[in-house]
Amino acid sequence: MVKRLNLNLRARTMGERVLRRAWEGVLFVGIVLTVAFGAFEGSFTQNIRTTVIDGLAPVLEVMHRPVVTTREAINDIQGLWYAHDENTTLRGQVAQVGTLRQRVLELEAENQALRNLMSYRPPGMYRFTSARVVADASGAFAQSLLISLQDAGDISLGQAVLGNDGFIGRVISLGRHTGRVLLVTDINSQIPVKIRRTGHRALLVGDNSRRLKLLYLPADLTLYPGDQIVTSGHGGRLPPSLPVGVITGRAGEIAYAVPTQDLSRIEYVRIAQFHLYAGSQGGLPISFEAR
Amino acid sequence: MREGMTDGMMAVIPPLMMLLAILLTLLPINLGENTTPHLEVIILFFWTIYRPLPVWVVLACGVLMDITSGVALGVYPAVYLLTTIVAQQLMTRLKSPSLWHLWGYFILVLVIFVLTLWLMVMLSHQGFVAWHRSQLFALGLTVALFPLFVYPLLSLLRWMHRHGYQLQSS
Repeated sequence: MVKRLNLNLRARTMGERVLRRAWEGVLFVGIVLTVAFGAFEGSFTQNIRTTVIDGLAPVLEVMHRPVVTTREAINDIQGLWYAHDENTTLRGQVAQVGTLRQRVLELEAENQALRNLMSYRPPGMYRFTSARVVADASGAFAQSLLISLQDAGDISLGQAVLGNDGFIGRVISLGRHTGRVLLVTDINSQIPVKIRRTGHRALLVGDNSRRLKLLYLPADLTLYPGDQIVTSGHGGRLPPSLPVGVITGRAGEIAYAVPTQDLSRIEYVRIAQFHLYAGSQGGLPISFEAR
Repeated sequence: MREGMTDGMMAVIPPLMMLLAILLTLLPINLGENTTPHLEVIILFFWTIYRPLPVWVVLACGVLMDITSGVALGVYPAVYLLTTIVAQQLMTRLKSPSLWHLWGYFILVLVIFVLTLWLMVMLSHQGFVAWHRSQLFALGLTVALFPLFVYPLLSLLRWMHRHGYQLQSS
């Protein structure tokens, strides 16, 4: 045990201390009032934010490397440990996927033929840009990720961000080489969605926990645990039919869900550059991308 | 000579440690519940007691935390400022605190920190923000990590004290 250390704080006169406390108190109240009136928020402060994050990104990347190396090493060891069991499971899955692939190709061909017959134009096109997560700014009262971008020029605010298993959030700020992703679980996140099984529309809102809330569902709608929630595409900013979450339960008018993607273990993300009715943009139709 | 050196070192080390702690909270280390401990509060508390940071440094750290965590500007500066005031007020009663004393006082300061942060987030959000398991998890984890960070720091200060370095500026 460390021996006790005298604090020996620098002696101040009573007057000095009172003045200092008064100054700090005034400062505190001033900041609180400014936050209450939102006076710090604007394009100027937004520029400061993005500039600082751009400057910090290389430092974060360097600090991030040992974390990635350690995580990969742990995954490797776990992989070796469970290799036999995983192999057996994967063989079973490969057999299933083969059958499903055949069925998907048949449906795709049929779908394409019907579209040609009706001169159908797909509702939107999108491309993907990959980005690496350099910082997880998810704290107790905010849920966001910082991503490193090769070139942020192609990305625009509001675009959908996907993990391996589905939609995770939207781009809310962009610097030159970094961006911030507001996770679907953040209290400020509101996403127009629909229930895939029934087609009913709702608003998916976060509350800073892992649980998501579905608002504005019809009172008489029966939901089952496991029902899939996908983006509805309403508003035109997000592509439709991206998987977002699954229903876990319902209490009164509010239904609850969890994200399809484990948000605590995201290393890479894809940004869907969605262009509504943008055949001239040269992207791929949604059905092709999904495949 | 040593006093000058200590003054220089001590003016740089606490802000640097704060910066490092803020950056550490951003690393995607999944310790559970998709949240991170309040490491920077441990550092802030420690240096507030042994070598109080200038107000502008506290505010600058707060602004940096606002920027990196994505909350409204002004939330963390206010919370850090109040945390330092509370920590200083509490510690004026103690002359030579042990690690256990520090730990006990830290828990109190941390609770005040988290409650103030919660109030400030609600103020900036202009609405109620519910508490969840992740907030409590972050709080518990921070309390558990406290000795891990403070014990080496206390040892360092003890060593410096033994070798005639002055902790407080002359």
